Amino acid sequence: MRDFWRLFSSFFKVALRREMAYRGTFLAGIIGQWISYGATFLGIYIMVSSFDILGGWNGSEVLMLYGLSVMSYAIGASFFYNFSNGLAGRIRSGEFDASLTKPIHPFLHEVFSAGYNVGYISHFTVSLVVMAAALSSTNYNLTVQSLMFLILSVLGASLIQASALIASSVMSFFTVGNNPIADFLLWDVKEFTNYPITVFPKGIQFVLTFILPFAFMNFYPAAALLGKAIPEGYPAILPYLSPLVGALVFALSILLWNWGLKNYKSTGS
Amino acid sequence: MEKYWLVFKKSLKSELTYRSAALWGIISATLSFLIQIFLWRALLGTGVRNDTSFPDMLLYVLLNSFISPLTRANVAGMIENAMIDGTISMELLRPISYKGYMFSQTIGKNIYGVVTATVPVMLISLPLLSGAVLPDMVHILLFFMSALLGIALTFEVTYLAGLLAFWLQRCWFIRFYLHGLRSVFGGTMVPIWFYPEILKNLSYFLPFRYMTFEPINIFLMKSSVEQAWISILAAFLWLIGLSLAGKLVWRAAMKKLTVNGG
Repeated sequence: MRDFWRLFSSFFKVALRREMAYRGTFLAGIIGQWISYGATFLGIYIMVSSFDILGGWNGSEVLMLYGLSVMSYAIGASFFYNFSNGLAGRIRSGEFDASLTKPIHPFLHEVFSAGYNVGYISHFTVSLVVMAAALSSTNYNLTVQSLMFLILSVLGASLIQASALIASSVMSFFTVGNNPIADFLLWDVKEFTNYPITVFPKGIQFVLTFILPFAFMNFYPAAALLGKAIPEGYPAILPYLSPLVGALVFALSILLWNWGLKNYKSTGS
Repeated sequence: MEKYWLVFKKSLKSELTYRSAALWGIISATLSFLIQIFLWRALLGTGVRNDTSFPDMLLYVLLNSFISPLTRANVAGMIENAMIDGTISMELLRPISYKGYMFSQTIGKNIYGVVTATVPVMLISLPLLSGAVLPDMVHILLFFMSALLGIALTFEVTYLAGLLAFWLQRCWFIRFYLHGLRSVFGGTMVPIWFYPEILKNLSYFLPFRYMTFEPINIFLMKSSVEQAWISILAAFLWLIGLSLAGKLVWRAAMKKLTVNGG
């Protein structure tokens, strides 16, 4: 375990230095992300609040959904985005094969050497500000318990986001082209969860709960926190299961990755 | 002209090689269309808000998914890559205007996106469209003028912002600024008629609303013929102003250009 931390911190320092080499670019990127994500938050708020209510949620409450989604993505992606996005390139160039010869597991070596992505600090800060504003505008009374629940749920949600990144990179073991599965999992499906899933048809609610469990990333924790209804007939315990679901899909995604690795044949370059 | 046609065809052809990408493009476009439809259905139901009914929104979303992929352009990214790998020095030697080259390439790419993404969306929505009111001939003609201007204007703005690449070296972030500004002031996410007054008024002073919002507004006959002409004129003036600015910036960029190797 001590070796783990030593390795992690030395890789972390290298990543930080790499980003800070272009300080101006780094700052301009952060501000750009604020503007871009801020615009989406604003759009969601204008849309919902000009109708007062969407499926029982008001504008500020709906903002919690996208807030949780962006915050958990910031945490999950800061550890796994470089890894997930870079794997195909490293396999194509043959660099990946070096990971197979290292004295730690190839998965860990890939994650560490891909590096921590400092840039996600912009996603984290913008979502933190929006969620704080949303909760205070609904006069939400945040207790120690509900704060603990929120933090645990965000951690679970981050594991779900990380799993999506890990799972989508498995494709790279089999094809060298671009990876549409990543876009599908990370952008298209997740877009549903920007709004309460109860406004969508039953089939979509089922998929987002039991098959691609993105609803545990934001909808269920937010529903528990704000006292909103969950889909009819679903177990009342679901809103509290995010940390568990997160741990489960994270383990599954690593199993999937190892399965991909087992079936991987080097390009030999 | 022939040269640009050639670039256009090449760009279209290189897109055609990614067959599986097309399939995922269809899935992606369909999903994002369905999300918006369910959402507006939940919001509007059978009622009317701000003069907007569900069939109006359906047409809005549909036209948006038709025009948006046409206006997609990442000039900054193209220049950045060309500068990093040095191909920029080759591209500048070609007997063709760089801007025209970028434009033909972008359009070639985008046409492919429209055909693969929008056609399936159209097919899904046909049965839903029965309640929608289609515009008269005058508005259709005005729509086409406005849409063409919108496409040109979008390219002009992304081109101008993209030229910053010559000074910044790294500029992957420019598209985030453009996305944010278009989303807020261009009504790409929520139609501007739902906006609070301040934002609505601000949007008149910026070019973004003429990119996709005004053309769609005309198609939905929410603009009178007179208002439509005014918005077309405004888009035209923006286009002239920005392309003049583009020329000046380009000239400055050519003086400044540094190519790393290549």
